Formats: sequence, C-alpha cells, structure tokens
Amino acid sequence: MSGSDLLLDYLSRYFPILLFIGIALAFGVVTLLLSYLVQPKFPESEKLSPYECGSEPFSDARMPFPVRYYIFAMLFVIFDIEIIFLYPWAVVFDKIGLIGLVEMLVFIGLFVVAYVYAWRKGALEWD
Amino acid sequence: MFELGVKVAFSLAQIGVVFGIVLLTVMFLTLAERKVIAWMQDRMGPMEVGPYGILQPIADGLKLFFKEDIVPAGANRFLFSLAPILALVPALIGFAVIPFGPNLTVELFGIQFKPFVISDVNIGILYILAFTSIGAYGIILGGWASNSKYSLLGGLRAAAQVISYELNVGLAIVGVLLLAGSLSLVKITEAQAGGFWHWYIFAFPFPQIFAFVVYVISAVAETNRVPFDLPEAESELVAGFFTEYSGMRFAFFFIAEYANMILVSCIAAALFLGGWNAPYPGTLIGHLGFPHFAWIEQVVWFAAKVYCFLFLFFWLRATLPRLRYDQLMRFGWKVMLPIALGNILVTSIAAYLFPKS
Amino acid sequence: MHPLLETLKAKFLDAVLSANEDRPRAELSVRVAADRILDVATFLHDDPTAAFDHITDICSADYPEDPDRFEVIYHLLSLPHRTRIRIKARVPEEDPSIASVTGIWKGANFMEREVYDLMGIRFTGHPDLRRILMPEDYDEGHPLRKDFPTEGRGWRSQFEFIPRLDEPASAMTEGEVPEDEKRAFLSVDGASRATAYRKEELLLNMGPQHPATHGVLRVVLELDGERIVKATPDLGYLHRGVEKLSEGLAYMQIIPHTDRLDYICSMTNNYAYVRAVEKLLGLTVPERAEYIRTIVAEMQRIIGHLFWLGTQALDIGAMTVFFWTFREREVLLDLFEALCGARLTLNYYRIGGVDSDFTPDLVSRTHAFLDTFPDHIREYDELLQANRIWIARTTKVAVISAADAINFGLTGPVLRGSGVAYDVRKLEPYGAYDKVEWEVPVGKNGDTYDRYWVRMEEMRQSCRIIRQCLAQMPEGPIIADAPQIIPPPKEKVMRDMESLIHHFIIFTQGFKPPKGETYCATEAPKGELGFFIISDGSPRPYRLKIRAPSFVHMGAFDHMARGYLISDIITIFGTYDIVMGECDR
Repeated sequence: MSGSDLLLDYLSRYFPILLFIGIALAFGVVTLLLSYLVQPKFPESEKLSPYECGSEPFSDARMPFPVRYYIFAMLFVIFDIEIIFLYPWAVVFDKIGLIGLVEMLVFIGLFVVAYVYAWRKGALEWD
Repeated sequence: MFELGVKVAFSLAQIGVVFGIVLLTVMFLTLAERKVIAWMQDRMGPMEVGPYGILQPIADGLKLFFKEDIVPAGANRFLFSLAPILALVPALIGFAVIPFGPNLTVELFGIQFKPFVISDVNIGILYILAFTSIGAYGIILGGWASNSKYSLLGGLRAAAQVISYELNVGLAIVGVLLLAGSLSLVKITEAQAGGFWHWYIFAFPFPQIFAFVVYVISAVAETNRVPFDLPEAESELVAGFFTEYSGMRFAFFFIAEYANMILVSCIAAALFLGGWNAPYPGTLIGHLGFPHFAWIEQVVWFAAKVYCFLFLFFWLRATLPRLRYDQLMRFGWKVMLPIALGNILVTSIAAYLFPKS
Repeated sequence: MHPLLETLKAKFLDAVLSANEDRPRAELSVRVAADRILDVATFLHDDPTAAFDHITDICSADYPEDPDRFEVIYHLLSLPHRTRIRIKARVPEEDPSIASVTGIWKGANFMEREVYDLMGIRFTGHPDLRRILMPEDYDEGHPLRKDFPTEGRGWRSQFEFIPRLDEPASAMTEGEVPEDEKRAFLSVDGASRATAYRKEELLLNMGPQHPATHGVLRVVLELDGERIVKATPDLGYLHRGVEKLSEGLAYMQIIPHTDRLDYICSMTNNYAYVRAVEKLLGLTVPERAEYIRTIVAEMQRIIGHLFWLGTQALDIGAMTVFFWTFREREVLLDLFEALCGARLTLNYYRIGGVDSDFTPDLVSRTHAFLDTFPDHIREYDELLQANRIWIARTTKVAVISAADAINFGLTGPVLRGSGVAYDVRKLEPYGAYDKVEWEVPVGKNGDTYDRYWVRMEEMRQSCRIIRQCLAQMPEGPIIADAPQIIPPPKEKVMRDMESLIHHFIIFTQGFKPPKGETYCATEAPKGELGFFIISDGSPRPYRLKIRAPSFVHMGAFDHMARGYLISDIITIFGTYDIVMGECDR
C-alpha cells in the first residue's frame, strides 16, 4: 500500500468516529441551548446561593484541599503509564516469544517494586 | 465523490441508529431500575404516568427539559456549563467501536460496509479507555465549578475514585489482550467464537475469571454506582458533584451515568463473554438453514449479555450498603490491583507455554 | 431516713439545707446551698457509698415570689446502687449564677446550656455557655421564666418570610458569614484555635436541610480533608416550647402534646407522661390496663426500632432494608389503627388506664404478626449482619466506652451497646415487665455494630414480652375507678345527668393533684424518657420538664464524631436514633 492509500484507509476508518464525536457534541450543545430557550428564568439571591443545607455558606468553596488527593493522582499517572506499555506487548506477545516474556516480567517486576514501595511508605493509606 | 457521499450517509445512518438505541436504552434503564428495585423491595415503582408507569422516563425528561437551569452565584459559568457536556460526550462516543453484531460486510452501490460496528479501528479498547477518562474531567470540573462544598467534596472523591479504578480496568483487560493478540473489539470477539468454552472468561490456557471479576467491580466503581456511589452519596454529600445542577445539565450527568453503564456492560460482554457469539457453536438459525438471518440471533445474544450486566447493576444497588471512602480506596489499591497484576503474570506465562496453534 | 441523706447531712452540715425522703414515691431530694453545689456534686460522684455516676437531667424552676427566685434541679442516678437523688439549689434573681458541674459529668454540658437558654441561669465555669434551643441571637429573655409572656406574635413576626422577587439577584460574593458570627460555632475549645494557622480545614454545614440528618438538625463540621476535627450540633430548629405550653394546660390536655415529642413512638411518650402523673396522684391502674399498656409500649418499641433500622441502613446505603422495615411497621400501624383509630399521633393512654380495650380480633392479629416477625428480623440480618460492607461500616465506628457513656448521661440502646445493662424496665419495673420473662441485651465494644445488635435483639425480646402478656392478660376494667380524676365513660354521659355534670366538671376544671414533685422515668425506644412534674396543687402543672433521651445523646455527639470520616457522621446520626421533635421539644 502506498502512503496515500494508507492515509485514505485511516481516514475512512476514523472519519465515522470524528463524525460521531461531532454529533455527540452537537447533541449536547443544541439540547442545552433549546432547553435554555424554553425554560423559565426567575433568579433570586436565595435561590442562587450555593447549597449548604439551608444555612449561609461559611466561606467560599474554592479553597486548598488536602494533599492526599494529589498523591493518588500522581500514583495514578505513574502506574497508568506503565500499564499503557503493557498493551502493545500483550498484542504482539505471540510473535516475540521468550525474550518478550522475560523482558516484560522484568518490567512488571519494576512495577511491583514501585507498588510495594508506595504501599510500605503508606501512600496507599487514606489516612 | 459519490462513494464518499454514500459512505457519509451510511455512517450517519449508523450513528443515528446507535445514538437512538443508546438514548432509548438510557430512558428505559431509568424506568427499569426503578421498577426492578421496587419489585425487590415489595413495592410497585412508578405507576402514574402511562400504563404501569412506562411513560415515566418521558415525563422525567420533559420536566427536566423545561426546568429552570440554575447557575449558583459564584460559580464559574463556562466550566459549569462545560462539565455536563464533558461528562456526556465521552460516554456516548465510546459506542463507536462496539461491535453490536457479527462482523459481516454488506455491499451497497459497490461499496463495502460493516453494518454492526460504526468503525472497526484497530485500537478500539485504547480509544474507549482514553475517552472514558475524559468523562472524569466532567465530574471534577462540575464539582469544582459549582462553588459548593458538597460539590467540591463529591468531585474530589469522584476524581480519586475514578482514576484508582481505571488502573484496575486497564490491568484487567491486558489478560484478554494477551490471549486475543489484538486491540480491536471486533477481532477480540471473533476470537471467542465456537461455544462458551471459548469465551475468555473460561478460555484455555488461562481462564480470565479473575480479570472478569476485577473488571466488573471496577466498572461499577467507575460508573459511580452502588456500592461505590460515594461521589454522589445522597446521605452524606446530598448529591455530590451535581448538587448544584438542575434542569437539562443535571439530566446530562444522569444520561452520562447510564450511558456509561451500558458502555461498560458492552465492553464486558465483548471482552469476556464472547460478544455476539452464542454459547454454542454457530447459531440456531444458521443450523436451521437460514444463515442469512443468523445475525438476528447474534445481536440478540449480545443484547442479552448486556442486559444481564445492567440487571446486575440494579441488583447490587438493591442489596449492598455503601462503602466508606477509605475502604473504597484500600479495596481498589490493595486488593484489586494485586489480583489484576497477578492475573497478567499467570496469563502471560500460560500463554507462552501454550501458544495459539 | 435514708442512709445516704444521713451521710450527706453529716458531711455537709452547712451546705445541706434540707433533705427529704418521699417514701410513697421512693424519691430522695436534697436542697443545698448554691455556692456549695460543686462540693456536694463531687462527693456524690466520687464517694463509693454514693457513686452517682450517671447524670439524668438538669432542669430549673421559677418561683417569682421567692427572694431566691430560681431553682436548679439536678437528677442523678447511681448505677451501682440503683438509687436516684434530686439535688436542688436556689439562686437569686439579681445574680442567677451557679457553678457548672460539667467538670464532673460531661453530659451536663448540654443540660446546663438548656437551663441557661430557657431560664437565664448562668453556669460559671461552663466551657461553652450559649443558647441551645432558641436562636443564637434571640434577645427577648428566657422563655421558661414565669414572667415571659405566653401571648403575642413574638420574635417570629420579625422574620422576612416572603422572598423579594422584585429585587435583582445579587451575587453572593458577600455570602460569607461575618467573623464574629462564625466564631459562635468555633468557640468551644482548642480544636479550632490550635489549627488556626492551617487553612486546610473546611467548615461545612450539615443540616438543617440535609437528607440524612433525621429531621432539622444542623451540625457544623470542621473537616480536615474528609476527617472530622470537630462537630458542633446546632439544635432548636423544631423547638415548640412544649414545656412552656404545658404550664397552661390541664393534666389531661398534655397527653396529645406528648404524641408530638418523639413522633415515631407516640405510645411510649404517652406512657411516660401518664405514669408520671399517676405517680404524682398516687393512682393505681387496673391490671388489664397494665398489660395492655405493656403490650402497646412494646409494639411501639418494635416500630421505633424498625424505623431506626430502616433509616440507619438507608443512610449507609442499603436501601432495601428501609422498605422492608416499613412493610412490617405498616402491619403494626394497622393494629394501632384498629386499637385507637390513629396511626401516628395516637393519644391512646389515659391517666389511670387506656382509652380502648384489646378486642379478641386484635389479639389474634397481634399473634399473627408475632408469628411472622422473627422471620422478618432474620431477613434483615441476612441482608446486613452477613454483609461485609455493613460490618466494615459499623464496627469500630462511633465507639464510646462504658465510662464515657455513663458520664455523658446516655441511656437506652446507646448505653447498653457499651456494655452497661441499664434498662428502666428492669431497674424500676413498671407495667407488666416484672411479670414476664425477658432479658436485657448488652453489647461489648460500644460501637455502632453493637448498638445495631442490641436493638435487633430488643425487637426479639419485645416479641417475647408481647406474647407472654397476651397469654397472661386478665379480664377486667381498663381504666381506674377514681371519679375525681377520671371522667365517666361516654355512654353514661349521654344518658345520665349526674355523669354529664361529672364529665363537665372534670373537663372544664381538671383535677387537682396534691402539692409536690416527682420524677418518673420510662424506657422509651430511644432511651430513658423522664417526666419531672412540679405541682402547686392547681389543675395545671407548675413546671413540667421532659428529660428527652435524644437531647442528652446529642451532648455526646462531638465526643463520638471526632476523628471519624465524614461518611461516618451519618452512621452516628443513625446509631443515636435521634428524633428532633423530642430533642428540641
């Protein structure tokens, strides 16, 4: 296959997906707009106040939040990247034989080391 | 030019049908959930709108459509409006690569089409994983943009929960990929033909039953359903990240949640339960001598598997209490992750010792 | 004289002004000098011969004619010796202050705040003396004082109820509560001050409009992430002034008001009230009425516990249990409807007996319920007790040790869950409880799971009690024969002139109990429900104090909630089984 053929092939494969994304986005935006046009609007300061169980909010909700959430986010990023590496390996597993297996075992071993380290350090504890 | 036109028209028709089916199923699901849970709880469920309440979803939808859409004071208007769309769109477009029926090819005006899948891309699974991750942004942004503490806490919980369980989903799938050798959902499903003992949940050389369990539990967690519905736990955080949402924006979060349920059910059916393949070799209609209509049976099998999963979602909701946040994180990171990892190791060794043909 | 009173008199010669033993009612009361209250209280708490470890209640009375106008009344209970004592101290109008006993009994915190709020007596040394039932900024005096007006539109007329639609919406940038107002919720102790430099703490309102606060309860939470640093309950959203109202009502007229206290369990409230009045009057109740009362009270206990189980499970996310418990509750409510025509606010008990008789049909229906109910309890257990998530959510959550629970004055299943076998039905048997066989289930660890287990077991015991009572119930009248107190039956009133006059007299003038005071405790599903009545010989109570278990339990809320996660807050709400109608009165 020549380069242009390959491009065409990709286009014909991904074009429906692009179309789908476009339609889904349009569905979202158009529905919101239509609803916006037909809905009643009676704003009022009590109604617009953020919900805090019927009391005046003590403070703005935009405040720094605990670092705990970030730790999990970082762990996720690290581990997720490692998982992504497993995907191509899994797909071509048949063709790469023993070497591929051993290499990936080493890789997973490194993953496990990181995981055990995080566990031992208490990064996986919520508190 | 004509060829392109036909292709676009056909794609549009396919998209329209899939879109319609998904949205109809979402509507039906909201009713089905209420009915099924009601029956499990010795009550009737909705009975007022239409006979046996079957028109209830339409009434709900219309009500939300015509309802005042409140943007709380202090909220970030742009992000507040963007969040529901960000949650909804990824949940819908995942269906682009789901094979709803057999991998047939039909010819129309000399052009070949695959009627049961919108696009058979060779990275189907990755595509779905990538886009469902975007859905988490919708939740986080919605929680943050609302300027409400309940929303913020709900959004934070949702963020941490979704990413934690996404790891497990990713790991659970690797086992199937090892056996199938492809990322295309069509190819993975095709590889499971020939009876239920070829389904990856039972398949030789290493049944993916552990991966299946990890996947199902993580899928429940990713869709924020009971017992993992902490981001929207009504008794704690009122409604979590969509506390401040009303009207159509609220409806979007709702549709997104149910569409996600259908999506993860479809993936589970395709990856582990043989997708459109019947649990016996071939198809009954095919054996009876109508091979041209075999696809009907296969589509029915796919739908049946998906609906079984959806029923499981309802069943869990009627049975289980909610986990606490620390328990949820511990379970995800310390129980599910090692199981999924172990599954990969064992599967890869087994697949090496017993290579495919 | 009781040996304890002798000891007190001997030990505090100058402090004990008078000591009195009310033999017929078996009550001890001591009047002490206000400035020595702390010494007496310390002695009563610490001395092993006294050992009054449990504070039941603190209340107050107002005598405007006296130079020492206000009386503070402490009800104490000694669990080891099973005795109750009432300590009274008078304070003058000019300087109504008395030393706080919060250092001895932690449970006194909320009780003293209530006295301060409603009577205006200051407790020196109290860590957090501010209004509790009335609004924080209420500045029209103290409602329970006798000179507080009972008529007029009052403070509420100042509220702006009507939203102003004509004004444009203003952005909520100024929505923050002013600093000094915020401080009101932070003032208690060091928890917030120590962390003042950390800006990570989130101040979160939970309630009054929240799905899981069991009514209009508000809790201000200080959160560190999801962990609770401090929880401050804010009560009074349902304060209706029942105690003040009662002072203007004849004794009979108060019964329907008690229905509205713990509106889940009206029967037990009725029971507690009529028992207190009967104790005041020295009235004995016919045996059949006693049995009916016991049966109905236990049915009500089952209803109360079913309600608790359903809501607790719903809070933790097990939705199905909620509907199943309401299915069984419905059967019992139908029985109540057949018995007295009402389902929720029952108004069934009468002073001296009950309103209507248990018919044979009702007996057989009750038996039918009892035959199936244990199976239903097993059903709930299968959904919950066998569920790992449920166990993980309830064990080691909201733990309170037995010593703390007693010190906070907790009662009922909350106290029994901590391993203290205190049940008024056993300690001071009333009704038919001493004639039937039953046991008091007691927990071990004082966590939510133990309290769950205790309540489940209590439902089984209630079944046992009802079954035996139905078997033993004798024939006979259902209301006492005391013409000066009890009106004649309606049929007679319709036919007989004298009965009509008799009826008229009682309903227009009421009856006049003897002068005196009495405290009577009853075991309600939530805990010890006590009524303290001071009678001045008129047809209306001079002072009626309701010792509501929910209110006392809320006093221990902060203690139990600290250090747990925000998800556990709702478990704690649930495990208390609070009803705000009773808590706020």
